[in-house]
Amino acid sequence: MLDLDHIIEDVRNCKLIPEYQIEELCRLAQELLLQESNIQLIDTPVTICGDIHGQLHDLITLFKIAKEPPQTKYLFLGDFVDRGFYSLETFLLLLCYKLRYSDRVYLIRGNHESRQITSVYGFYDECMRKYGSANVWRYCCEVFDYLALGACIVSPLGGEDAVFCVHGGLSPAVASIDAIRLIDRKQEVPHEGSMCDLLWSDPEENIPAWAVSPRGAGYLFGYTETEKFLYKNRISLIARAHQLVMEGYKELFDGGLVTVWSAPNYCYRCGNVAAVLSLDDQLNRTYTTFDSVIQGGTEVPSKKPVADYFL
Amino acid sequence: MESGHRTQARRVKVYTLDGDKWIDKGTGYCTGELKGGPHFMVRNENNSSEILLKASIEGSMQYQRQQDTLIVWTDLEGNDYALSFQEPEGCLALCKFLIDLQRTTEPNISLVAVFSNGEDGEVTEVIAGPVPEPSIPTDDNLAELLDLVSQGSKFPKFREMLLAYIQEKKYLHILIDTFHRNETRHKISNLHYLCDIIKTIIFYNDPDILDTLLEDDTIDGVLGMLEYDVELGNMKTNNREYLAKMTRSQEVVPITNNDIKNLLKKTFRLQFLKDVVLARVLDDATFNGISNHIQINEERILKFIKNDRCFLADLFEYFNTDGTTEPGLANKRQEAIRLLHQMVLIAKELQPSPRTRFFKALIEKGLFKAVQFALKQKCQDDISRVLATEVIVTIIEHDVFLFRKSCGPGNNESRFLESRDTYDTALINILTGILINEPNIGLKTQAFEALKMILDPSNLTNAPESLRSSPANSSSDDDNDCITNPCETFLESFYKYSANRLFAPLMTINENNMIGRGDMVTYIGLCELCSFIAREHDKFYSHRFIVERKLLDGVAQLMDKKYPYQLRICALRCIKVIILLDDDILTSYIIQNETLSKFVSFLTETNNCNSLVNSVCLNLLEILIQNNNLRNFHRIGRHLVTSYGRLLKDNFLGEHLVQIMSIEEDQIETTNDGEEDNKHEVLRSEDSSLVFGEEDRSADISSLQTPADMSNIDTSILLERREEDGNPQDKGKNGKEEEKSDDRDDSTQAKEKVVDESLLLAISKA
Repeated sequence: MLDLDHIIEDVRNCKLIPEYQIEELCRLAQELLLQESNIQLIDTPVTICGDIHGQLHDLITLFKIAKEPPQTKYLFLGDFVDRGFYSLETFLLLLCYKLRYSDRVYLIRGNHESRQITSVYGFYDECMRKYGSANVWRYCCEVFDYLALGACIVSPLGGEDAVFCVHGGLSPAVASIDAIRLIDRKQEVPHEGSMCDLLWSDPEENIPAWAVSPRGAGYLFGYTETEKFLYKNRISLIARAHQLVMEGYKELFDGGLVTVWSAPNYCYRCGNVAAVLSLDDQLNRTYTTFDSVIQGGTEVPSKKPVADYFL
Repeated sequence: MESGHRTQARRVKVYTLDGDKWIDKGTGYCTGELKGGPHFMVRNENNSSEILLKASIEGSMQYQRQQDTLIVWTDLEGNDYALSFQEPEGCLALCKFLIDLQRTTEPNISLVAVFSNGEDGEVTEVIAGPVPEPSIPTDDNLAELLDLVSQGSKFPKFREMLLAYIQEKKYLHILIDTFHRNETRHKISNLHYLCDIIKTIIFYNDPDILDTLLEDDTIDGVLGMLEYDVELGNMKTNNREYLAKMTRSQEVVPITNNDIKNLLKKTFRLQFLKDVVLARVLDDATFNGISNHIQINEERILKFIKNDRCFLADLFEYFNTDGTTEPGLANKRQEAIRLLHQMVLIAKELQPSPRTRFFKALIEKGLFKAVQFALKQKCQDDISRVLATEVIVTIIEHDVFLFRKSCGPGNNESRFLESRDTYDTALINILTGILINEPNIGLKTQAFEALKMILDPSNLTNAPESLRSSPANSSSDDDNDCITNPCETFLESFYKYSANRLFAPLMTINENNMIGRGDMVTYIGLCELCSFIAREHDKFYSHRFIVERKLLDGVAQLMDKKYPYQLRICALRCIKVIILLDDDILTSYIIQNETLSKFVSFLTETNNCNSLVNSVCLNLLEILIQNNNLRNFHRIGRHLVTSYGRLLKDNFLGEHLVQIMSIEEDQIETTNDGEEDNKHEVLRSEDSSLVFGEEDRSADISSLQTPADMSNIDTSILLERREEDGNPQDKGKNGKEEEKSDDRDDSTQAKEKVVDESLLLAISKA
């Protein structure tokens, strides 16, 4: 049996976890995640975090600021990997916490949790560099297929309202949250359709309804569509990530939607601050922002050199 | 210079500054002249003998070009002048005059362009002017030096001159000496300046300077300077120590060429700079610049390896079977595999044609020997096997034909591999063995991927370059055959020799057997391959194989409660893909063999939990409901309702399906009265007639051993189906068929009325 606490410690110190342990970790994660519904129901209070993108040290800062699991209940909105230099450690850390405290940590899928995207934006290369073969990447991608697509946050005290959480945004093929239940999510993120849209769409001011997304996947959705969705599903807020906001968070559409971004100084040079959103039992919103700091003074974020070199 | 020593005359207004007012001195024609020392001359437009302005160009005067039509300057006595040109071309012509002067007789004058940047700011760019030479760094002037170097990032012209100076004067060495001096004295602020200076120079993104940085006598100093990043405050990184500690493994095959040796070293250092030292700070342009540089180097290295007389031959020599007793050979072989793996990964980044050439060279020199050796290793050497499989996957991914081609006559490999068929079979057999018997999960997964790649017909039909350019192909009829229909030949041989063995586990599922983690991965792979061949291969081969070998029975078994959820989901997804093919025969098979009974139990079992597992089940019902107007989906829906209606009703979506069917039933009863029975009969007879005859199904697949047999079967199926079409009885059936579909149109409308109120249809419509 895996010693999760030990692995958590090692991952936080960027120690290489043996391949067979990652394989086992990923299998256990699958077993856990397949019990979760496409849209997870989560009770308040909860802290919602946006994109992390492999910035392990900033994730550790986040835990320092918003408290270590299980003291705080967390929902991560996806995009754990790519861009930063510690995608693997970031994902493993979140996965370990998920396994260790399954009802205190929730993970949903972002558009970067996909084979195709990770082979371009860094996660694949990182695994190759660290392990010399792509197997670790394969195990992780298998887990991606099991991640939930969104979450619905409600207060255990009752009350009509709820908060809908998803990585990207709305889809013209999804009028009601219940409809998402019929998606077979255990697959690579498709290029179109409701599952794709939930992970890829962006809100946009000044457009009437739906518009083509410049990203080439998902849609742009405007005020009216957001209003309609909120009303129809009896929710007060859509919390999503997916877009860099310099201030860490940004509310749109009269506060009906918020973008939360949790990777400070994105790509180690964007100069933005990061934020997390805490919801209390009345669904009141508290934003906490934080900066990137170099941890403990022992290591500067960098890629690891190739393990062995023959040429 | 135009017309001797004088430029063409351009129309201008001349102004001088008086206090803070510009005074108009008149309009005339301006020329740049050299006679009597360079000067601007403006003659009155009405009277060419009247000189409005004669202004010498000398010393270190600075000229500004503003707004495209103005040249403004202050002369040595402190008088301000402005020339306002009628046309921008005129202004440009006189600017060119100044630039030429700066480059020849007046090197100290300068010309800067001033742009407004929209709001209130102004941007200046040096167009021509003397380059301030960087002063010799002392311990006190590093701040100014950094300023100067930073200017170079802004002005390309300036950067160019600075770079030339740095190279010519070996300025890097001077900087490095300064660095060592300051490091010994712990002058941290100076070290921070030096770090910024060297970073700025790297960010010039100039290939030559980059190359100089990587030389043996500079790299250590450069890495040292980069350790003192101002962001780190009083701390530093340990680049030099890190690089020194990362001892390079010894050469597997010694390289004697010094140029290449040097190139290898530099490439490694560059990679280290890119990935480790500068990873955090590189902007996209510099990142791409360095990456390109690396790629160009690697391309040269691979080219050398490919063309070298000995390198590859020596490398593969390790895998000749004789001499196994030699001490240290096992170790050498492992290293050789790692080297191969690394080369293949590098080659993956090359352009397609050099990549093909390199892979070809590897294969011709004996790659398969090495791979075969590695894969045969027992469990103690997992690394070699993992890497060797990855090598295969990479090459197949690029071009499936590369492996096959290598067995042409006269090739070394032909000793091992008599024909293309056996070659494919050999590779597929090895991979099959890994997928089925291998305990290492990673390897199993890789073998699965490799198999999927080999079985992918799109890899076979996109006539790859290797095929066209191969001399081996034209030499024998057999190869020509392969050109005419490579896909067909491949499928024929696959289903003849390999498919049975590959899918054997699905045909022999033991009901009482509990399975381990490894088996789960095998079965998941096989479920995926089963749906893959059903979808991608010509159905003459694949559907027939699936039906005759009862693969779906095995797949259905895997949905049983005793198996892990991951596997059950995968099995269900396989069935779903098959249903989505909307194929008559496979649909009939599913209905007749109760393939979906396990699905219904699976659904019932998860009715009360909203989980991924439940969603996967619901998704299949949803697909049936959505496509109910298509014949085969309708057949399956009706079959489910007929056989499992009671169980379906426990599920909200299942109940919906039951409803749809009963509405149809009502429709048929009211509109068609007595014909209902007839229709059911038709459906039933359809079910059986579309399936292979009983004799056919019982026939052993081994009877397909020869191509002749295959073709017989081919025609017999065609005949069977053609007869169906031509049969007068069937005509009647077809007539009914149409009638039925009309009915269905009605019933679909009716259905929509009912369902519109329900949430579900609204969803799917949206």
